[in-house]
Amino acid sequence: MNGPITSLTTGWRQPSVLPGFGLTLGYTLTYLGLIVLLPLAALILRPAELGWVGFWEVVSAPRVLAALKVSFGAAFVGACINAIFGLLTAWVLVRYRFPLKRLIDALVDLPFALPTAVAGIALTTLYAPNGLLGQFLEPLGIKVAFTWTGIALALTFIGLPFVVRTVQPVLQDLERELEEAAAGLGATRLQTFFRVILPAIAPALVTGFALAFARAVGEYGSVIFIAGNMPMSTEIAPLLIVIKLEQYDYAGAAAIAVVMLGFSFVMLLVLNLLQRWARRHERAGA
Amino acid sequence: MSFLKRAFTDGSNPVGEPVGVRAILIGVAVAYLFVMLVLPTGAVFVEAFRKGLDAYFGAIEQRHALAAVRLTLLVAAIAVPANLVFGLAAAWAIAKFEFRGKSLLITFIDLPFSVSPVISGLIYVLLFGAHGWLGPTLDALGIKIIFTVAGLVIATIFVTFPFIARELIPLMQEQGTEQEQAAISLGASGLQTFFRVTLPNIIWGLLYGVLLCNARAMGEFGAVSVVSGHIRGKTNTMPLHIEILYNEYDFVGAFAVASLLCLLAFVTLALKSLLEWRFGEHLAAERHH
Amino acid sequence: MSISITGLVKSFGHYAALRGVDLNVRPGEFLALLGPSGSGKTTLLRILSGLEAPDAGRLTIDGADISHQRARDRQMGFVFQHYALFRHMTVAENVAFGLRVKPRAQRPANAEIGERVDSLLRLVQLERMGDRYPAQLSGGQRQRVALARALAIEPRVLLLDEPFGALDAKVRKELRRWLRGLHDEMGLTSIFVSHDQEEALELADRVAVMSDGRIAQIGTPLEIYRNPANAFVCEFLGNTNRLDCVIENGRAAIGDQLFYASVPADAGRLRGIAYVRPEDCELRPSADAPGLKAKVVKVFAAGPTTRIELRRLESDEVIEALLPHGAVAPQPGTEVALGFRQLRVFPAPNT
Repeated sequence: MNGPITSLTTGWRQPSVLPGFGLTLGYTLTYLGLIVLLPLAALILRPAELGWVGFWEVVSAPRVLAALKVSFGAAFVGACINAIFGLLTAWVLVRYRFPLKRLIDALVDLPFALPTAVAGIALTTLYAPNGLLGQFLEPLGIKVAFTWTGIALALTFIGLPFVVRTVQPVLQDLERELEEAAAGLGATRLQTFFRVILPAIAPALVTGFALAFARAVGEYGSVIFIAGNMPMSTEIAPLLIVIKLEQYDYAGAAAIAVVMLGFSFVMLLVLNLLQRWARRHERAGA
Repeated sequence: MSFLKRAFTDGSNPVGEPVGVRAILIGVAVAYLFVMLVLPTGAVFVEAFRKGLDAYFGAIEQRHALAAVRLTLLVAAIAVPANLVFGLAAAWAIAKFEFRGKSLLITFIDLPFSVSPVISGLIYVLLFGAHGWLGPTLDALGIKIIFTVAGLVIATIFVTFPFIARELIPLMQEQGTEQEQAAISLGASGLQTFFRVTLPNIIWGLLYGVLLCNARAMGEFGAVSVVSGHIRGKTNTMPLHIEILYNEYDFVGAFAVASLLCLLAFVTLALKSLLEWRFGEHLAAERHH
Repeated sequence: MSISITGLVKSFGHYAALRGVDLNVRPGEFLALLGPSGSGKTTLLRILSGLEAPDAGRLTIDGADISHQRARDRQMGFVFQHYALFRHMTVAENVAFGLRVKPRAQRPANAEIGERVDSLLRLVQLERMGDRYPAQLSGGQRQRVALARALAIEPRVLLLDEPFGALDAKVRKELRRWLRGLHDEMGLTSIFVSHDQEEALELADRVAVMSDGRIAQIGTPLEIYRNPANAFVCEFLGNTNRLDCVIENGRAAIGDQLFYASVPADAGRLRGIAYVRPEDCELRPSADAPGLKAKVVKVFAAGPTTRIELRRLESDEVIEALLPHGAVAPQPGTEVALGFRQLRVFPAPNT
């Protein structure tokens, strides 16, 4: 505010009478650069020392492909389960009254608050062949702990809140009149759900699914206890990164990480596009 | 059982689902949440107390367990304030000023949320490790980051990086700049404006962000696991200590430490719900996720 | 379609929304439910459409009891106050909705649905708007889409909840004339809810004035306006002056003036309220002429009529009078005698 007005209009920012822009933005950029951007750059550039061929050899190795397949496959299944039960949970919490509802609502966030290692050992204990639930599943021929099923279970657990928390507010704000209009026009309750309610909450549902999926793909702590960690079958990609790191194969670890990171960005991008697409007609509320 | 009947028939809305359908949907959802959430948490306490109270407290009072608790508190005590200062600075710059590249900046701030915890640790090993970019230089200067507390702190800062900023940015954006402009026009300095006008308006959102940031900071496993080196009594936080005890088949020990983290999770959830119910209109999270 | 409603009661918790409503709607009629907010008019409409279940009472259409029929089976065209258009569907999809959700056996073929939608859109003058989304339309256009959507199911009765409430004044006037024309042209039976007396009186064949969960009076607009059945209807419809009076032997005394009152003569001596519409006031220039003595306070001459504010000399009550355009208005400060061409007297409440 000291200099002439023209010095404030530098073209890339609008002038303001509030102080502290230079200081706070400078600090933000420095901190962001040092903590996030520089280390991520180190990661992305690291596989370069392998060359394109070397990079391809690392990420196309059977064990790496198998691990990526386990991580992505189990994460996808987990996210699908979360989409279904998350929608159900959000529906029940928004639409119905029942005892202990507030407590149950608060409990949904448990996977966010509970450290992943705790979740990992707890699930493993429950579903081990002699565990509380495992002992009933074992005679049925269902093995959970130390199998692919166990991985999917842990990834379902850590992704549980996402769909509930993205769908809940949208369902809350959904005008009851839309459903009444549908009923008045002769629609059955199921027709109303699939033709009126579901399209309205679909963007939130997809967002929640994508968040749960992305989170599950990179998950480590809750999975390594319940996964068998057998190469080629129950080894997840993040564990393989740790193993490569312990063998001082930095470039190899970085190569797998870059593949996973690339996936994360594609997910984010698709998600953004999806949301933009879904909002295209809804600028002004009808 | 009259309360059940009342619960299931609320509103007697002729357009809604029949009572039977409601009851089934509620039943399925509650059963699912019970199996997925309540049973695992219950199992932690059952296992922790399996050999009695003495064994439980014995496990917690173990030297390395106490060291892990102290280290976890120390790491959180550094990481949370660091991200708090950053969150305030970023929110001030982003919410109170208009400049180009703002949405890109917000995307970058959110970035650590989409990075796998293991990769969050890996990037610092690649940077500061023995074979990292800066490792040899730092080594020559006698500075060690990987396998030390400094490494734990920096990895924790990374994974909890967006928590406070992403709570404050939408909240402060929503509040606009009129009040601050009024304060400036009345002769307040920048700091006075911040402490007397801005801060009181965002205090609940700030606490909310700190709460979530702290829970993640104390519970982080993957990222710190990669940079820790697992040196007992030195670089083992509580989650890492749980892993060691569990792998050594000291189940009571592992679950005893886990029960402490469970309690932390309960306290976090309780405070979070309290903030949401009591100050919901002052929180950005209520409206944005 | 004739509708008959008997003994309808509905409460929400401790709040009694309807306290016993009886109403008959004649075939082809355009009926207005008029009342202040909270009088139960929207609740009545929602019960008719099946969106709300009554606590007691009976609904019949052409003699058939529909009290327990589900909303989706009632075939009532309901137009919501804020339209409730489906945002993710185009205008044409919105209109087609009621046809597409019919059970397979009754569902028209796609081509036929398309034709029906086209003709409905023509009817509401939106034939080029079929591919648009609701967010791209103006308020008046959305209203017409909502109407077309309700008409698509060939409703037995058209129910409209504050159909013009969310529109600005100019669009509102145009749209209500158009709607009345449509109603006559299609031979519909329609019921609409309104809190705007001008709108109800202009548009409806009959008006049911609601108050406090009951129907206070039902009749043609002229009947309601000229012969209000009770104090509430009198006050709710249009501007009116209230004057305290004493009722005795079928006469109402205001000051030293006596007026005829349609109150049974054997009721004894009662305190009452006399209602006089401003246009029924007569100003007699000489203060010695018979009538209530009053002093002219202000004269508002701009407008189609001249409005005069007077103050009674005896009681300080303020009275408003309307003189036709061109009449000679007295100067402020002048004392005049007030005569009333017509007044209605009702016993004061709590006597």
